[in-house]
Amino acid sequence: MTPPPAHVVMARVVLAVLLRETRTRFGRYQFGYLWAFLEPLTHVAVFIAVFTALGRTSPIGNSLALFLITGVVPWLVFTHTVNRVAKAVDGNRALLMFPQVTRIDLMLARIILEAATASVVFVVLCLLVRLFETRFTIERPLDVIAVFACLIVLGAGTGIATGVISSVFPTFERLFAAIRRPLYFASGVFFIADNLPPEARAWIAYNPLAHLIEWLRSAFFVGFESSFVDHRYAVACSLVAVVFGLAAERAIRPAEKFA
Amino acid sequence: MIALAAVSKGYRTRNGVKVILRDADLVLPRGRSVALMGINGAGKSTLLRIFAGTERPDRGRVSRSARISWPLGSAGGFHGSLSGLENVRFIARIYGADVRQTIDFVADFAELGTYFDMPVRTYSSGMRARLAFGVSMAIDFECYLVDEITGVGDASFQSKCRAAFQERRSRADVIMVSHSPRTLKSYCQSAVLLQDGSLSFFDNIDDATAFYAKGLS
Repeated sequence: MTPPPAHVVMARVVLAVLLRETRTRFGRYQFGYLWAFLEPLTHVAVFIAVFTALGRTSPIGNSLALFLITGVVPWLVFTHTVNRVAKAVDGNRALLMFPQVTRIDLMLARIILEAATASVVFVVLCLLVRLFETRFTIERPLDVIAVFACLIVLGAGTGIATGVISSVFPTFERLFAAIRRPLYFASGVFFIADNLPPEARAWIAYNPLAHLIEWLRSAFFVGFESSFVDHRYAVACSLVAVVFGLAAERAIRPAEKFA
Repeated sequence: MIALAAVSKGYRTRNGVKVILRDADLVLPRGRSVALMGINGAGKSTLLRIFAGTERPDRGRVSRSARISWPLGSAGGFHGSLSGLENVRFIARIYGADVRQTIDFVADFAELGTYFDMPVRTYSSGMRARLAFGVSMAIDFECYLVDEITGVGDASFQSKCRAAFQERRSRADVIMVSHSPRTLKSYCQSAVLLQDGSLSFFDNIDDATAFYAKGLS
């Protein structure tokens, strides 16, 4: 009996892990899949409360909710992808007992799940705004898709690298989590770069997430063009992250599946 | 058939490298069930994982020309927070087996009762072994790699395992690790002795046990 071709085996494994992950990713919480929506909504609600208390309005467009959604969702997509991919192997070590299951399969399944969840959450939240708050049109929908693709690639690459590095230096995971927290405030989740003082803007220009969020907003909101966003830098960072992550995975982790 | 050509495998430990295999060659023919023998810590379980393809050798080549199971033990392969049924569904999917049929078979074979719908982490080691054994029997392998699980469970389950293997003896072989010589002899005709990084094949398991006993004394 000849074994099925490698790509068929891989597709089977990734699909099986994906289906199982859907259960374990959301099954633990009481609201299950609903949590995927509740999390960004809490962020948005907190910022709406703060903005209202300070008497501020949205810097672009006329919907504060939409402005915040286009910042919070990409941020969460990035951090969740990093976190989930970095822990993909640890969380599923038992599965490596099956010869056809590889570490890349485990990571790929989580990347696909995060990408699918991100798309659904973003679309649903935008629809909610359109139905209950403001009618809007998206200026360049293809750019919006490109930004989300970059976010997933950047998150996946960073996640793979984090997983590999923390398998050698276990403290790295914590260190990176500590760096990520302030990054929330330097990524433009609740502001636009044009409103920052030039010194701050110069620093934030190194943050690919800030570029991706600005890019998303300039593609999303009719009439808003950011002078800050550098598309090439954002794409380059994403590609470098994924190439670095995969190379590190190959080079640093030994051939043994259990190491 | 499984063949090893100049295979080396070692582990880095605190006290230097622990050698499991050093340039080992081996050919396991079809139609023979083989006992894997060696002292504690010689690397029998690692060797089983190399046969399966779960672990890669440091050097050398492993070739397989049969549908080989994963190493069936009471430990690995199951996700503790998922139920037995969900784990079975996963395994059926990755082997491209019919999910419904596999679940029905395992539900009947493993005799887990209501535990089939409970998280695997609540299982005893005997129940895990029954689950592992049940799934592997549901998927038609040509070679079963068995790591210390036939000794578990009560007498009736053990005879059930034996009957299941007996029934497919014509099309499936067993490669087995066990500390019980009686178990080994009831399943296997041949043996492989793992000693100081090299492998020796004995066509007749009795020769291996005699050799092994002499070496130990």
